[in-house]
Amino acid sequence: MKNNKDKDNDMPNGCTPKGCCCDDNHGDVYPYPPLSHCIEKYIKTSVGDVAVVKTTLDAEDKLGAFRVRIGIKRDDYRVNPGVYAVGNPDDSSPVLVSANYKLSFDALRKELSDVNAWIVVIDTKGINVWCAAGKGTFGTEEIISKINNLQIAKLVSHKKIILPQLGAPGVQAHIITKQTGFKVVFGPVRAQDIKAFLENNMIASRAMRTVLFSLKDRIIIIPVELVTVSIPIPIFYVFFIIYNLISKQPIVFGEVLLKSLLNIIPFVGAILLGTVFVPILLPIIPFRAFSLKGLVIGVIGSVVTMLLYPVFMLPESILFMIATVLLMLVITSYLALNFTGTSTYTSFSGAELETQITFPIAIVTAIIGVVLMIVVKILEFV
Amino acid sequence: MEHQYIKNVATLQLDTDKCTGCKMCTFVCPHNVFEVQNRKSVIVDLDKCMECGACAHNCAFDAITVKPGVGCAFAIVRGILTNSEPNCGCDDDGACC
Repeated sequence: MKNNKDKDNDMPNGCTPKGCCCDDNHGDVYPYPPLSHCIEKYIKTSVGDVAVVKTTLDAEDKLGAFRVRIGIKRDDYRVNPGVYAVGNPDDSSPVLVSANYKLSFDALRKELSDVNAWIVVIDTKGINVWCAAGKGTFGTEEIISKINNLQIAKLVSHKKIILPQLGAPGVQAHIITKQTGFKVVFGPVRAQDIKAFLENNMIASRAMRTVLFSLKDRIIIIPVELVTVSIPIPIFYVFFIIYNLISKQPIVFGEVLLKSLLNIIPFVGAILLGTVFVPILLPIIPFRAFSLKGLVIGVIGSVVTMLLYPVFMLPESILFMIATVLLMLVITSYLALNFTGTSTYTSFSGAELETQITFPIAIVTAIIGVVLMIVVKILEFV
Repeated sequence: MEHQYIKNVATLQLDTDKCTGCKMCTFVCPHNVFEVQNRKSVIVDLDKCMECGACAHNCAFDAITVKPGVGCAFAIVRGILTNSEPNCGCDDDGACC
């Protein structure tokens, strides 16, 4: 839950967009930097001044998105909750609800050129709509409290709010309606369809309602995954340095460092296979279970590794070759299994089933692999 | 190519007697699991269900039950290790929105 932490920040709270959240009547004040570069102007409304945000993303927005995509402080990229406007909305304009994760907010506003609408940003603790809905922070209570505190009933004369469809797991639309009088309309899954949705009398087509997991969706998350899974690489390296230092032959430390670097290539390769190739090839790899998909890719990687075996300067021993293959298979299967958490279509029951079967096997296999490597080293001395 | 996950495991259930055919489940389901036929909702593709819980939450007539949860192995492993409910500590953005 690392991302749920509200960071202490010494930023003065006067920096929030006027009329959105500074005002005591308008709910919470957050210590986030101002969106000033996104704001075109302020307009006067019956509930105070409201910031009109730009519908184009500038260099600062793009740099921020890039930073988050490569995993730097990605859990601290927030927008202050409150009411915002795009275009020149009036009391008949649609009300769109969004999360206070800036990537979500940007994804929405950049699709709203030439649209007059209100955007109600609720407090999802800086988490995107779908994940926040899963956690319940994009939830019924929060939406009801924002509708009330932000006086949406005073802002518009109609009784409709548009929620992103992916917020649905966290909300009970009928309860919101009962408590606030606002009818909930679920909009499209993707912000890019919002204009078409509004033009289509607020009816989301089947395509707009369907979650995809396209090649682009899968590629865009690879960098963040890579940052996380690269952590054990230095451990592999240290393991092989120690492994190579224990030797009957005379040792040159520089050579050990270089040799160990070659030694870890198959294992680093397995990490890349699991985090890059599995996501890219996901739908065309045989089997439904992710761990089996990882196994398939691991087998291919192992075959290549065995063909190139001398290059890696690993011990010339059948046992060590077996150990290498076992560990590679564990790495690719585990990383593929881990990708269930990133995918957009795996069920809890399915993930639970395959985890219960795969996880113990993976642990035992990994232990066998490491023990075999140690056995090979011991045999060197006997 | 269409993504397909493990078959016959989803905990989704629909009580047709309670269903009024309001179509809410068809609006919120991200994988088109439901279709309304003859004024009643029908589960047309159970294996597509990812147990997000959107349908059950938004059914005003309590016609749908599902054990919602995150389809995330890492959360499940952590749940087993810490002896707690699997919880999604990951905050992936790309896959979601």
